[in-house]
Amino acid sequence: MKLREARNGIYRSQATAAATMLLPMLALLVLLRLLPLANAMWSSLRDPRLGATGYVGIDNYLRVLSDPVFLKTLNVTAMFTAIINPLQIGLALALAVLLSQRIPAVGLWRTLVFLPAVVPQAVSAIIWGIALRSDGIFNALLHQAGFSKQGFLTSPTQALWCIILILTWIGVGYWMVILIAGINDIPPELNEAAKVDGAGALRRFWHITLPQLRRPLLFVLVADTVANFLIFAPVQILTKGGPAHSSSIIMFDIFERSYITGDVPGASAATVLLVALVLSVVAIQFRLLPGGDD
Amino acid sequence: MKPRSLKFVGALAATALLVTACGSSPEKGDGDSKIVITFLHTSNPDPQPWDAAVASFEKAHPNVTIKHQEVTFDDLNTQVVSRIGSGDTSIDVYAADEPRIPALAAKGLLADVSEYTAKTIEATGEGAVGAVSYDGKQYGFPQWSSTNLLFYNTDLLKKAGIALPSADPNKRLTYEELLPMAQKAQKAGAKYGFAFEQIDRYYQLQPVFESAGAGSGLAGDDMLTPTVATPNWVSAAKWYGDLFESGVSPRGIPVDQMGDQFGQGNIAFFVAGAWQLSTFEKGGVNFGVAPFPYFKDGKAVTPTDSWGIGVSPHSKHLDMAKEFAAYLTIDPVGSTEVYPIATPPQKLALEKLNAEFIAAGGWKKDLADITTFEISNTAVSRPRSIGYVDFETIMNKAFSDIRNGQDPQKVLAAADAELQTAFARLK
Repeated sequence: MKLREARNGIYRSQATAAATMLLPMLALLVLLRLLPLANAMWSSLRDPRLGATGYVGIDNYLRVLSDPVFLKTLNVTAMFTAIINPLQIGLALALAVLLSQRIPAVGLWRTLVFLPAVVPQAVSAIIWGIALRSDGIFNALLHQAGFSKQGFLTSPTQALWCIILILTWIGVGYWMVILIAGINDIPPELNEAAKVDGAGALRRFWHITLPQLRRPLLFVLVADTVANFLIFAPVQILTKGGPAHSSSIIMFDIFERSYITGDVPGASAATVLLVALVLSVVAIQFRLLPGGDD
Repeated sequence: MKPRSLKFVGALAATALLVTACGSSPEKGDGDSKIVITFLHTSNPDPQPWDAAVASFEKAHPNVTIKHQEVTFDDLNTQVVSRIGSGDTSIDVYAADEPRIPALAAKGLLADVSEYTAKTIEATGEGAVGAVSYDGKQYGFPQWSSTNLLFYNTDLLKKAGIALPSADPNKRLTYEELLPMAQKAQKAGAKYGFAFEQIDRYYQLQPVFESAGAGSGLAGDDMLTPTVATPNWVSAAKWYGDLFESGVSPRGIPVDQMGDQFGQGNIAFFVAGAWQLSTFEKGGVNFGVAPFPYFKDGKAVTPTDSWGIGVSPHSKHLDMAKEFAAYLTIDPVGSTEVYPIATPPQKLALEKLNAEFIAAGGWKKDLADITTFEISNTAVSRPRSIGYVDFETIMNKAFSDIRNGQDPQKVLAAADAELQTAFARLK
């Protein structure tokens, strides 16, 4: 009996200690994350006219969802997400596999691939913006090679691809580092045993590396997807969503509604819709790719 | 709930929190007994326009320190809407683009300064006060007025054997005369023949459409009816798009880098504001100045208005903030100490500047003469409307699309539809 009481006492003190240590983080979560979400939800139900604040129900959601510009933005965002996530993750995985091999100066290559991730996105965007100008280095190279000049950021068919290219250049090294850590965690005896059994590099990748990487891959998939839904700076700096809304992804649309035209209720409605969209996508990803606990 | 389900829900919640982590965190004002007035404005080329006036204001008010916060033109509106809109007290005084004043005032982002109206009229005139007023109240102080001019690169023109344009407003070039000259200069070695500085900003392009007889693009008593898809707008927009299509104007260079293009000697003829003078001088280009061109069958129109100085209604030192804003703009001493990067609407400051420029002769005299003429005869203000911010945002994107080669008719029809959607929210 005394032993049980003593155990309960230990559990209670541990729980108190845990709660005390968690408290600052929980307070910050409420203050910095939950309150803004609640604020966005409240604001999305208010009157959008200048100086008015009355309750208007779901009018702002209906208004935003019937706005052709917002629908175009959703379309562009869907295409952007469908292209950039597989592209970044595929490239990061390929680089991780390549740069976890015993090749000369591997540290240098890893550093070079990772380097763009430590440059602020805005700086990268400005540098790429100059390179992609009509009189920039890419058009000069194309001209030298006998090709015609390309519009790049000024072309409605190329602008989104340019943004994808820039973001991939920035992001791929970051995700690669996480996947390299995952590859290094794979017990070497698994690969050695497979080698003894005569498995080639491709079979070992398919049957050992990939299954063993499920957890880091799931993290990369979810974190990369969320990060790409929240992309803003390069679009604001390079294209302002244009030409003809061809690179207008959802965070830029929300920013413009909120901070340029002052339509805070419309921007809040779009934010709540974005949260719902991201949650749905991430839920599907969790269902399709279990983390490997079971 | 099973551990996995718990994890699943936890992960979803974490994702939701990540997505919503873009809230604002209001800054706190100074806690010292000494008064700090924070002045938010756009970055300016050296010399800083307010340095001398700020120094003398601080000398006259030993307990006051003026703190500058500089941002880009595009970021200024964002900062004002997000910071003052959330009740942030860390901005006391800020530069406000005059056509935005009605919308800023309607949103409660500007303090009423009507107690200064009589003094403001005395210092500047009723027109200048009208530009900073909304609904019968004064919401800012007029800092600059403005005009735009046609700058030309004398070396490139001489090389092409082109006679230098006259500075006489009565001998103003038409676009029909100007474009062949620009193309001739380009054939003789100029990288670009003719360009606007503000390639996708309504402020500088409004005169093109007004001169073509297309109007401002807004109509109605409340100026909330868009008229930007009319045949006149489309034909003027096509003319504008052709400048870039033909290569006379550079495509793909951001608006902020256009001044450098003329300063570095790449453009023969360049429509710009006087605020680019320091960029031109830094670039070392030899230039002259002529009046803003117009269409042969239309009238001469020039842009005007510029920055006002507004006071945040959330300032902790409202009276001192107003006094400082008034000192920079309507005070006989303070306003003349401000270095003029554009045309001052203050009578005393304008007299001082004109005397200095006329005495200097050359292009400076031409600039002073042309500016005086344009402000009295050809200046057309931007439409005054609570929908101006939406209008400018949508139209600037339309201009950008047109110069990037999109079909003007489709772009303007889409812009018209977007404007109607945006204005429906305001009515």
